[in-house]
Amino acid sequence: MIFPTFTFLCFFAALLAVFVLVRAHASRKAVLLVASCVFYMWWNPAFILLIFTSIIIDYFVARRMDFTADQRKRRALLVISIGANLGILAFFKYANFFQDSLLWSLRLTGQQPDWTTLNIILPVGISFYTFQTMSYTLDVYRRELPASRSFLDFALFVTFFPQLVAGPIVRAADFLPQLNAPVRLCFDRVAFFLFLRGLAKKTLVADNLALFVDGVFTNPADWPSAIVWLGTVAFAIQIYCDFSGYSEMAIALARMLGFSLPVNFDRPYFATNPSLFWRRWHISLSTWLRDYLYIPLGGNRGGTWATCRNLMITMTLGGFWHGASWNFLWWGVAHGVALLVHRLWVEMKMRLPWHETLDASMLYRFACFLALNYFILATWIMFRLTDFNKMRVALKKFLFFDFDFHFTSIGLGALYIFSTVTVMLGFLVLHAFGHFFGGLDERLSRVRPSVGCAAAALVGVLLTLFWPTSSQPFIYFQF
Amino acid sequence: MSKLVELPPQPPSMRGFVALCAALCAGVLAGWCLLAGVTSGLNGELSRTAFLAQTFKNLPANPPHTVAIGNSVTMNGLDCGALGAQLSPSRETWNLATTGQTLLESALLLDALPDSVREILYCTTVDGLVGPVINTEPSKLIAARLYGLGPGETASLVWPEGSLLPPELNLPYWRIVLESRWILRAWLDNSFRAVLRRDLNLQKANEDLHFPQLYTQRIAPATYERALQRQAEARASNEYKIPSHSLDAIVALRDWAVRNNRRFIVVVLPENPDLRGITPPSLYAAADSMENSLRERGVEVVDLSTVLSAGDFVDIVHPGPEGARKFTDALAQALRAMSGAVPKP
Repeated sequence: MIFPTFTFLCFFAALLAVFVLVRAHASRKAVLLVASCVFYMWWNPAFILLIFTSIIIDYFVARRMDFTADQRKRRALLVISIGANLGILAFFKYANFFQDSLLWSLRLTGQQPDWTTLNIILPVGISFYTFQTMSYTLDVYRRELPASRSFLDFALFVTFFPQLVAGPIVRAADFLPQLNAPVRLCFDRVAFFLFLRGLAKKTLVADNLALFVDGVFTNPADWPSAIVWLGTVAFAIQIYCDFSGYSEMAIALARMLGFSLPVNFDRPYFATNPSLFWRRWHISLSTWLRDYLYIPLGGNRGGTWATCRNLMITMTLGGFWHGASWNFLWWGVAHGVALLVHRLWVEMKMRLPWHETLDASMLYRFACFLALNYFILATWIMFRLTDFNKMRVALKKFLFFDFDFHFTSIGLGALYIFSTVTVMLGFLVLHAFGHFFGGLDERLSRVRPSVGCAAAALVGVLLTLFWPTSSQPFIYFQF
Repeated sequence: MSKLVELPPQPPSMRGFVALCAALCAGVLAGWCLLAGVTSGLNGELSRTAFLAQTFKNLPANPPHTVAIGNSVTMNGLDCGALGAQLSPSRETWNLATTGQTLLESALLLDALPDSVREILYCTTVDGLVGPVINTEPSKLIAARLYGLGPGETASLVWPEGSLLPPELNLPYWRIVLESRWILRAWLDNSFRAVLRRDLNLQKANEDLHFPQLYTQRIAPATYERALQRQAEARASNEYKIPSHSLDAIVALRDWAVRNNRRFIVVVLPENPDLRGITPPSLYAAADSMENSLRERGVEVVDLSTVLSAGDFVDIVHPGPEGARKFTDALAQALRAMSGAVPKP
């Protein structure tokens, strides 16, 4: 079940109806847990067992960890929890990849193994909920969080449907305390307009751009550099709107149910360096990687080279988290290198006597903004194309412009290039407006009710007119 | 701790939220009404279908005797005005081709044909002859329904026996209107294209009943080469076998035409020799086999696939003005040579 569907609308309406009937705090939590299970089982009922396996292991491991003071036992329990979680993740997400890679390597050496391909189905949201449960046991192990005494609370923390399949990755320390207070519905204008913002981003921008992006990246060799560039920028906008749109809808739905989820995006394309970009893109993942991988590895405490090593390990694994494919690994490596270069540049710059003047210069910041976005766009090509040859061709066309574009080459239909550019420009104008003057949804939640209603009606008209007829799956569902 | 979205200290009243939801629903309804009012009149890539459907309803004083159905190659390569004038006796001939027209779309047009039509030219490319003939994008079927074309006898004939027609052909009106929203985007694209591509006569392509030629200027050599390469890869990766359903569908159409005292002729359109050079021979073997099978089952076939040279094309598939003239003349000659009686099924 996905948010922008009639099925979900009915599901949510039914949930609210039950909430009106059920007033008791514990009962409302139970209703939410059941609803979350139904939400997940709509895709594939069997895989709910997998989630509950993680829940049961982590709940009891954390409880046991809380009761014992013996550090060795606590560490053994942590290993059990992490081993189980990573084992499940490795099997369901990476087994096919490792098998294919092994086959490929064996064939390189001239062997022809004839074992059967596993063809394991990837459970939706496994990367998200695995990281969520792992962070819980790690927090309990570090004594930053007491183990949850309520199985219901813990199960609801893991399965809470707004964020179950594509994040934001919620920390137990943020969510579990919210379950101690009574569950109260919160239908305010902030939630309404935030949901509409996410919905519009997903349907009006991301899905409309998807038609063009898919057309370009199906075979980039067919297109000149100008179209590859346009396709890459369109994909950058598509993936941002797709993922941040989902996060915003999730946050808004959680808010309607009386829960607060973490902010996941903060206009990342306005960043001026890779470090800032990762503080604004998929914030819940980057902070997770920072807190549970980069810092435990030593962070930036061991000198320049140790920091560089830690950065590369973190970003490479971060890239691999996205998908069991080499392109995601390279994407992570590229971002690791960028963070590393940026770090070295900052260290070098600090020794310059005029570094403060440089940092304050608008021209310098604008140049940084352009350079970062050029890099980000190139890496989106690596992210988008799993086929190495297509990736190579697209990157070549992106990096070495061929000046081979003629309007007479554009036939009827084909890619919807002009409407795509219109959507992109419309998004960029609104995005820039939001960056400099505040988001439209925030403004609309403060205006007079009549103006708010007029805006809602206008969005209704736009959704009806420009919601694409072919629905596109959320990109991050595959992770 | 992460940066959480703050919740209000007190839950707000539901009234404001309900009002917003009601306004949103009102907007959706207004959007639907807007769609119902404007989409059928917008100039999108299927405007020609709308124009043809409208023309069938308001026939001019001189209705057609012969019609040609097909895709953009037929639009660009067949001057039906000149064709009709060269036939003996001369007859009103219309070009009913539309961009990417499939046999199912053709069938929707044939179901709405005026009674005056006595001869149907089913124009197909060589690869179209051996490809799937009925696979039609849902959006096109939606547009056809919106423009007043509905599934009739012919549509059922070309569809595989025993399987249901595409659901788009049976949707209720409110859904047809809602699903037709893609036309807005097509209109937006067409409007921009009309401004940027002065070489295209979009109005002629939409509204000319005789010669809706759209492409007249040769594309850039680099673009031509790239398109050729793309086509080479696509053709090399295909396996060419005659889809049994295609043969049955064309024969069924011929039978339907004969039952209605109409002549049905399959015309194989000219192919760019540059394409022939890069195509696996299996395509032509399959096309020959298909033509032979059609002839064995009594279908008249005119194969003009080799009448043009590479210079007669503006791109890898569409004949230019000179190519259209040559092809039209060749077709007129072939039709004059054929006997006038309607063959029996």
